[in-house]
Amino acid sequence: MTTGIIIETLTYLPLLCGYILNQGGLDDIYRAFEQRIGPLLDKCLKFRKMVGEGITSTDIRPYCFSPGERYGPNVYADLEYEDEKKEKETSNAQQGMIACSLSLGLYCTRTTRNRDGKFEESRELILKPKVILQDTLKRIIE
Amino acid sequence: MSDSRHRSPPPRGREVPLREPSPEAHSTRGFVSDTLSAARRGLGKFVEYCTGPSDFDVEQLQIEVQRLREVDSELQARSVELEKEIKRMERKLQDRENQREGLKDVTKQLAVAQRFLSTADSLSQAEAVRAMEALNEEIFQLTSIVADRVQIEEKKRLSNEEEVAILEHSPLLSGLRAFLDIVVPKQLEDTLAIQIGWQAILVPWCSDIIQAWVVEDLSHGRGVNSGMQTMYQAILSESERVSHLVH
Repeated sequence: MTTGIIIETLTYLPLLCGYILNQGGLDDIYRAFEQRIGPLLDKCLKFRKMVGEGITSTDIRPYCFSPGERYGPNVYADLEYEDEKKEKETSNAQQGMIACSLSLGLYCTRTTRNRDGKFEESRELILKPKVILQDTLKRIIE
Repeated sequence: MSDSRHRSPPPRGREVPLREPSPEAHSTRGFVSDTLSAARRGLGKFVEYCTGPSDFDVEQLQIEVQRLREVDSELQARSVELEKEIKRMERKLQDRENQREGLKDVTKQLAVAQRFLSTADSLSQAEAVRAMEALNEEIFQLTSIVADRVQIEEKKRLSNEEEVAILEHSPLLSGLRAFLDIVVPKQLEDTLAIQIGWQAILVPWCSDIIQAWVVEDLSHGRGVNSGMQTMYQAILSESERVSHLVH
């Protein structure tokens, strides 16, 4: 598995935002990621192997939210960088557009046969992913 | 018997001397004789019974005996049957008992297996959660370290054409519209937003690797372009989420 694309993509972000002014700056970021992406890839592959070959009777899968998805009371995710005061006041009423995910969550699925003989998939969320709301992102970069 | 000394010698054999009732017994005579007569009659019957029943009675008795014999053999046969039945029941009961014991053993084994599986399940789940938390931490650390290398003091906004070109070249970035719309126009004070953007890129990438059916071999020394092509195709074919971002 090549990591070229992901490193390129990562490097393009500060470029797109206007903070890379020359090739040297670009190469510097590229190299920094190239050197450090290995351990992350390793962890991903190990995790993949673990849930693939596990002795569990259930399937464990990662999940995350896409930018632009709605956050609401029934959305199973932790909000990051929230204002603590605000959080206490409106903890149940928080809504808004998700800017992006910051970490992966986990759920496990169990496929059973229901009374009609059909296969049913039930999901149990075992780790919440972290997301940041657009409004929160706006606030922290002010 | 006051004057028995003066009478003739006592009678021999069976002869039963009839004694004249004394004049003093004259008042109770009727009663005594009645009683005696009744006794004699009963005795007679008894004597008859013991010493010589009639032919009619024998027949009766024989019938009676025969009937009793039949009843007895019936009862014997029934008794034998019942014993057999009892033995059968006892065997059945024993079989059931053995079955129950067997099932108890199986149930015990299943319980152990069940505990083992549930423990293994919850161990595996706990393991998976720990592993994922470590993975998330790795994403955070990696992006944090490289973010320190970004110089944000001087921002030079790209032209529209340049921005479009980059987004066309990098489909993964164009999926971050909700993020980019907020961050790109802004002059940042620190690199936190850049770090957040990098996390946003790495999170779905990790998710895709973990869920991929086929993982290409890690290859070294390949050019970026060929790598990009392969990676791009791999992502497109394995992740519908990303492909919808591309289109």
